[in-house]
Amino acid sequence: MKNRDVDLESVIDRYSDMLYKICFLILKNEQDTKDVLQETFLIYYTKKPKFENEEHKKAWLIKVSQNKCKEFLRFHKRHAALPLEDMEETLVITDGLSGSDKEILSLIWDLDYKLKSVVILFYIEGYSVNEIADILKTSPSAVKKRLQRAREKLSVKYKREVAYEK
Amino acid sequence: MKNKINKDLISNIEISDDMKEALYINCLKNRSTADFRFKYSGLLSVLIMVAVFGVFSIGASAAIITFWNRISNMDDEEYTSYVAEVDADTFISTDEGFSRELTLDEIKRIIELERKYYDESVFPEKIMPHYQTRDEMSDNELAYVVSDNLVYLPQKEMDDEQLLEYIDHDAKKRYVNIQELRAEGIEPGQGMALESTPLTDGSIEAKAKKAADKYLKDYYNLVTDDSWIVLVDIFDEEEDRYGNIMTLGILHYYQLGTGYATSYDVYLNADDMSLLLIGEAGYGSILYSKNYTFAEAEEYVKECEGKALEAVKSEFGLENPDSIKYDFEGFNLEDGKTASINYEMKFDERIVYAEVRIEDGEILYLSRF
Repeated sequence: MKNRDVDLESVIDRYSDMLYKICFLILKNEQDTKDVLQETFLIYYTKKPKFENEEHKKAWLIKVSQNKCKEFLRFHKRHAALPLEDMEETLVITDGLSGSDKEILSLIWDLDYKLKSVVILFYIEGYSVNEIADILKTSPSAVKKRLQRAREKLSVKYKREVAYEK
Repeated sequence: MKNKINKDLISNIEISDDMKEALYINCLKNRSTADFRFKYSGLLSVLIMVAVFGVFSIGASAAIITFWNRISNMDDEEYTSYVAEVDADTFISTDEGFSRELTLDEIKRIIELERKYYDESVFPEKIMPHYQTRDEMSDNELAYVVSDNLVYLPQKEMDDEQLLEYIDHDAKKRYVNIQELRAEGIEPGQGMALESTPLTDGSIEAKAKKAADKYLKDYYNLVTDDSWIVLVDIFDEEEDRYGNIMTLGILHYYQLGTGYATSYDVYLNADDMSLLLIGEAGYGSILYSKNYTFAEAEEYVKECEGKALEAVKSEFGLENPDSIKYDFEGFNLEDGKTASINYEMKFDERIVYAEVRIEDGEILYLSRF
């Protein structure tokens, strides 16, 4: 039996849930999400990158996992991205949420990829526009534009305003 | 204003402890998902390695060498334009990156033309232009527009030259993308390669390949030639979902291209070479078969179920399932249309999947893994 790798175990324990939530929202199926996380942690384990601090490590893991999500979406054939209501037949996702929160989640679920990635990082993970630009390797203005478009889409669909605070 | 989007919305989406442990164990085993969707990045990684060492292994065709020379010898201007494109659309999926979806006929022709592109060095006469704004485009031109971060496809169906430009653009963009990722220390995907896994006579990999070849011949009448890449991965002491420990063999068969063409996966218990999973993937497996509305497909559910039960009994020795569920596989073609039916059968605690093409009853996917 191999000795436990404390660092690997710790990074999976600390960050896998956060990455799982983000990637699951983007890929909309469990199998591809598992595969993306596998690839992400394998790169971490084999590359053993150095980080300035925990925030740097977290951003790096998000960045790698998002690149993997992109690869999966490009070559997606086998595992279907399921509508939220279908997903709920097998997984508990909206239990305990209010009716309006279910609506919000459903609308985020249906956003296209570019908009959804910035919505998740900005609203859910709390990154700033500049930090998102760095993670997604794009410009701050592009991030702002995507956030604006996402807000418009959500607002139009909801007929209510969704908060966006710089 | 109070933010209505927050972590609470996704509080129910949680990773299980079992999944965490599986991630940990698989990393220790250095195990990639070895998914066919990474094949291109794997291909290009190998191409880059070839460039570094300047040597091709025996078996690399002249056409592949020509192809590599083409993508690795882009001039600075072209290369820079692809860097900008890659940077701009870090998270664009196929559907979002183009002004319209490909028609089914275009996909068919791409599948045919990419064989000429990769195997016969048939390249487009010109390269897809990059424009700053859409105003610079001509009518019915195929071009990438920087300001929109979009590849505009002509409204009418593309001709062969444009389709070759499309294939060429795809190959070059991936090449640049991988270069950029590598510069950041990120491997763009593992487990796939330009060349087949080297096999030593008598090795377990060679035996697994031989067994998988036979399964592919039996199920799909497929005999692969040198244009096929065959990757063989053997994993010792692998545990399936039922707690059985085995030597697992995973084999992937594919040809270079944009990913629309048919590829195959075979999973074996390499201790006895029994079949765990066989699957046909890619649009190629359904483009040439008839599509049915869901209502029409309902009429074939029983007939296809018979085919599925027959295959499950023949291959796995399982019969009289406790329950059978089915759904239609759409492959994101036209809404409400399907070409195959997927069955989930439960035998005690074991679950078996069988996907049957409606038109001819062919088994597209069979798994007890």
